[in-house]
Amino acid sequence: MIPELGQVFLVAALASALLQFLGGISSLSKNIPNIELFVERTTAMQTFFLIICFGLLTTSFLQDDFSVLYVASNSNTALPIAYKFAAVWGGHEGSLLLWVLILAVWTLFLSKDKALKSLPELRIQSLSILGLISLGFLIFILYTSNPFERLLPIPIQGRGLNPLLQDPALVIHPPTLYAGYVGLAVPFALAVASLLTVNNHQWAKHARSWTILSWMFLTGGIALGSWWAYYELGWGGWWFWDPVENASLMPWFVATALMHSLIVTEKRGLFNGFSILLAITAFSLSLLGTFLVRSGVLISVHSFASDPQRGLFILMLLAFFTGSALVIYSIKQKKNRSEKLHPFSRESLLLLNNVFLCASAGLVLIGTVYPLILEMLDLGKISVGPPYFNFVILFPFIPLLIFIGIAVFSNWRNDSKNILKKVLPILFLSLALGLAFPFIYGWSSLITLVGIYLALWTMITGISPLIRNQFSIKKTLVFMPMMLGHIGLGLMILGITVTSSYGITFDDSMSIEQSSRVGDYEFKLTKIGKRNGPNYLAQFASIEITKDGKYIQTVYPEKRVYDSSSMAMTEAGIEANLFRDLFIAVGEDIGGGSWSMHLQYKPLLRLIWYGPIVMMLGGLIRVFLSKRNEETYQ
Amino acid sequence: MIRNKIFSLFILLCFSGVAADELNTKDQLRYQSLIQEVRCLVCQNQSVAESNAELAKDLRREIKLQIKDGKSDSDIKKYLFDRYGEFILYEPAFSQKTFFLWFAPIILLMMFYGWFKKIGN
Amino acid sequence: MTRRLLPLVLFFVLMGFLALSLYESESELPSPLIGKPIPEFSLENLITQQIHSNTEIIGEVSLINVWATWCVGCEIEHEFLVELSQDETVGIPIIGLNWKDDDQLARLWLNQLGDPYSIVLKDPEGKTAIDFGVYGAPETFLIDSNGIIHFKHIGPLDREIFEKDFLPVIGELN
Repeated sequence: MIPELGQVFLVAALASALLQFLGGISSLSKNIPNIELFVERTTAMQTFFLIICFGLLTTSFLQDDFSVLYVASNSNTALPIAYKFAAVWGGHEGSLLLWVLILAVWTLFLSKDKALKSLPELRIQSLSILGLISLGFLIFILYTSNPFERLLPIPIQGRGLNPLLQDPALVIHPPTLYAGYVGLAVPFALAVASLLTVNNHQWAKHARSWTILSWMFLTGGIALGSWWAYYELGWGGWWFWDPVENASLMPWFVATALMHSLIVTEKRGLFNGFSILLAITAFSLSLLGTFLVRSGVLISVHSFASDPQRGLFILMLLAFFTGSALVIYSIKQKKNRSEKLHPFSRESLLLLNNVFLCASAGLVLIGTVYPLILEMLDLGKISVGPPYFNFVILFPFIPLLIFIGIAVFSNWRNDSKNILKKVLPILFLSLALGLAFPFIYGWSSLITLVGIYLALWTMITGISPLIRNQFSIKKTLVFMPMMLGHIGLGLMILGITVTSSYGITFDDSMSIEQSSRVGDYEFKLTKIGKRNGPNYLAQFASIEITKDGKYIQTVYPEKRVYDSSSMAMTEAGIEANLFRDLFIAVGEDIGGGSWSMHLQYKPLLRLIWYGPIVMMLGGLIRVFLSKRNEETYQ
Repeated sequence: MIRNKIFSLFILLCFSGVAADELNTKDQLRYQSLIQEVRCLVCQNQSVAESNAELAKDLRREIKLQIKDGKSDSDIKKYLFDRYGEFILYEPAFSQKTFFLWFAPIILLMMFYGWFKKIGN
Repeated sequence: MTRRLLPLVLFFVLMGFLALSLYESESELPSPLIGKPIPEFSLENLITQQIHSNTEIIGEVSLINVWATWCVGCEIEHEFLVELSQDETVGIPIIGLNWKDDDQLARLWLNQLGDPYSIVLKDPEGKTAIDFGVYGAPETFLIDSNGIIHFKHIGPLDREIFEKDFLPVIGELN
């Protein structure tokens, strides 16, 4: 009964989305009374129905209703209850339902945005466009990926959730990432709605907070994914340039550019066309990401069950939304208000860095789809992996980081003549501080040193407003989002540089009471044992870590075999503090009481995730500040 | 070849015991970075460093042996390339068909710079 | 106008490629060894324990089949291989390469399921398999009388594939 009810509500949500779209779009040509209220109500209805749908699917999971195909393929009775919740979005159908639910929630919030009420046309049209996007995905769900589909005969037991997904970080990683992806639909809708209606730069002011919010979720989602891969996939890597990771990184680059471009468009009315294009691109790349993950065209660690029909449908949605947005853009967009810009004004520097961010996204896109294109052209199969990306990303990123610091000191409109004078002391400071690193960690290479300099440079220039204002938090509150954003970025770059240049990885075979040395650390295997988990069997090692004879910690890395799958999962043993991570993964029994062990010493690794947290904090403050400003306006 | 084998046998004898199959620190570094650049062909998208597949284990062992034999990184890459083709290496070789790939940073930066000039005015 | 249309055109070209790629059948990795002689080796015969080198096994147009008892695909194709080895009209010898296997299990397998191989060499370490560019069993190579590799099939072999991909090449070689 419950699945059928879910289906009914899914159709009801589809109908509301249709009304939401039609109501909005029909008011474009003629004046319809109360249309604003109508669109508002249908938006609320759509969200309401989808929440019920999602609730019903969750109920099916909690009841272990294996007559539902989706439940039977992603859960079983032995699954711990928390993971039964997470299993709702553990597979393709459920995660798409989550996708539209999040979209509906974003739309609902947009309809509650008080400030936007001053521009009713823009408001109605953007809600209508969001309704259309939702409509497209709801048709997709009902047509190809219905989560409520029944299964006959009813199996006694489900297949269980993929063991890789049975992890706390993986419970929140997909919703966070989706919130980011889907949130980019809001600036997209605002940009296109603006082209269709007022056609000026007013949308920018409203799009900014929404962009920042979804950017925060995107940042958090990517960082969570990286953290999870680090401790769960078993070999201690944190970024692999896997197509699916790239799919989340591309919209992140463009969203970051959009966030900055909107500042200029809002404050100065410039680059309106550029901002619109960025908004369109950011959302399109989110859709592309969804396509790449769902279609299985690229070989990826994350590949879900692939189905060309599903892939084609997403591709059609992508072609339709992006294509029509670009057509509307090329017809409607007026010539940019032109103004001679000084090369070192804040406007130009922000633009320049946005261009570098776009180039980064472009490079990732080229590297990701290049093998695919060569194969289509019958030019053979190639692999484009970390060695390529790590190298080419330096081209846009080195100038980007240089100009970030300069941009902080620039002013609107004019060319600050003494900008170099202001910047020089900081340059020297970061050079001096940077020299400390080779002393601590030893000499590595020139590029390492450049990376460290640029990271410090980004952080120190980021913090400079605070220094200029004698550390008064009150005076620097408006700079806080920028400061935290830049400090976070600097921390992340520092972490990446130091950990990749000075980290040590060591594969060793160890037997009981024997130790292995990595850097200054001594790892001693003291015990190998077995233990029973709720739905798995684990083999664990007990490893004692010491440094210069001083005891630090004992860690227990594991190898788990889950009941529902024969694949062995690695649970690494990690001892971490701010300055370094020690990582141990158990390999295999190589006979004679010996085990192969994977040992790592990774200095400053944590910064790679603390950096994004600091960046997100900056975004959060920005969103609160703008809310407060709105209240003071009223 | 035979010389290498005798040599490795000699090394094996010298260090027989626990450390026999382990590399020295410098070679361990080379080994670690090399195995990350080699794709595990039977896995989805993982390097042989990351995979537990049998083939990955064999390739790791082979790479380790060749490092001990004193082969250079490019020798080892060529060894793999000759047997499995270019798909096995994560760093695509520069050739006619990867021309655009390798020049992408320059082309993109130039293109976007032109764009920057155009909007900026 | 053209400048404004450029992003649109680029976008649709990319869409086209992505749409095409959806329908691209999972293509196998092309072997760089096609047209080259089989690699050098000296391996032990699974049955007689004699050592054979690569030069000893060539001389006839033949198949080299990489198999193991732990491989599911090998079980599927085995019946066909036995059938093929008895097929007088084709009359092609099959050389087995037992890959990373247990000797006893392998011998038992041949005793129970029939032995289609003219000779079975064993490669317990998988080193020769790497030289052959093997990445997943079963794999079947077609070599000529000089030991040059002409074709490689990855995955279980059956009559249909054999008649479509192997027979025409065998006809040419004879």
